[in-house]
Amino acid sequence: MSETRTRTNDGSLDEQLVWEALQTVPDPELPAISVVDMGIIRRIDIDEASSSIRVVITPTFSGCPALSQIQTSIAEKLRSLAKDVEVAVTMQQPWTSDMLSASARQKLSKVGIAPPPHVGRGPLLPMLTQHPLTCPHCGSQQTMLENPFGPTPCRAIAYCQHCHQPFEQFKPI
Amino acid sequence: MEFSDASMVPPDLQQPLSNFLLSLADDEFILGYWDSEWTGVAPTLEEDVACSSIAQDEIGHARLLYQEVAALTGSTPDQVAYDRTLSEYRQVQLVERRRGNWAFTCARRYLYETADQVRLASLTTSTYRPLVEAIGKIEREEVYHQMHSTAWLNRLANGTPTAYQLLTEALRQLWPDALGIFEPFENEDVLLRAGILPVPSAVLEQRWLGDIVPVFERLRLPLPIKKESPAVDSPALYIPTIVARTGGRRGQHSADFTDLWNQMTMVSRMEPGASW
Repeated sequence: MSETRTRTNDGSLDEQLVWEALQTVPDPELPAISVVDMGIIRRIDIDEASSSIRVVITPTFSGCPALSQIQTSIAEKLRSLAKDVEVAVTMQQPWTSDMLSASARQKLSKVGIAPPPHVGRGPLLPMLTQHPLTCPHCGSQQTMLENPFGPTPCRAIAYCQHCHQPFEQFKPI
Repeated sequence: MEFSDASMVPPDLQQPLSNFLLSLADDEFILGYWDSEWTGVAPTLEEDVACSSIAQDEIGHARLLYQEVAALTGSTPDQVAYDRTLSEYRQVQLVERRRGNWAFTCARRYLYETADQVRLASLTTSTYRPLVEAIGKIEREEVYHQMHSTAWLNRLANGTPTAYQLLTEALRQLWPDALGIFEPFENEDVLLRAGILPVPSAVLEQRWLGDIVPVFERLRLPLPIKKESPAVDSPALYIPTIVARTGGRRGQHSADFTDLWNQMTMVSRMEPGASW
């Protein structure tokens, strides 16, 4: 594991430290991407007096089986910073694929998964049917969504008619 | 008047709200449970993955709503899901039929998903804030289910004569149950007055039929519905020509559900409070 700071220079615990620590917690289904870059951290509350941290996260998909594992790994990581760690789940500001960080998008491309096109907050269906997907291998937009369901809830299977390769698409949602 | 969380709900509303949330959750839970049976035996590998993902989504949606019921009743989502007697479940009969053959599964999915879209869209203005938040999440995920079920309805209807025949047979079996999807909720008048349910079920049913009747006409599929125009300027009224099978919202269920209940609650009955 990478070395993370457990205290700032003046010996205090601040939000920046918690963010740094969370940067090293991977998403269990896409280990190249941290929970921070996935965009699922909603807020961080710190109470230094009682040495407690409360982190609020939101799932990418509501049936995500990795959620409890994510809660556990966040709690384990943060226990080096504070005595009491609580990881709560909220549905406020629900996650959309637009919340992936720029760095997450680059990392997805590197592992051969096409990053999702920007979806905005409008109705999803017209966006899905009218915008072509981009092949991560050759960059062509002569592609088709083969199966909206893939190996994990957040991935779909698409096919490039230009280079004749199937590819995984991170689901726009 | 808006209810920001479970603690804001007055005592006389707690039971109607709790049963209403159970209705929405049980529909998703039971259908998800049956669809999960396709894991490993679906017609193609892609469909295996799709059915498993859809089932996982639906059970996830049910869990979200069971959490809200648990917050209202002081229990846990697991207890709400598994520790109820048969008549305490609130799903409509459409979702509790055995999964049947592939055409039956696809046809039922299409009927359910299209109705669910209409219902979810209407609930985004509910006065119960936790429900609105849950639906903000659920609605976008359901778009993928709708795409999938629409693709299969078209594929079977425009496919081989056998596919068309199996689809029409399935629809004939399904229509009486499908017309029960919008059976009024228990204490619907109370829910409407509180704004928890923004639109009456009867109105939602008309919206739903307005969406799917043109599709069934275009695909030449069984459609036990007649269209009437009450007055020149008023919209068409869709009137069923067969009797709807209802009762699910009042806890009346079919034998198929008894079998499913026996199976899915087995572990919790053998080992109350077990965790895994």
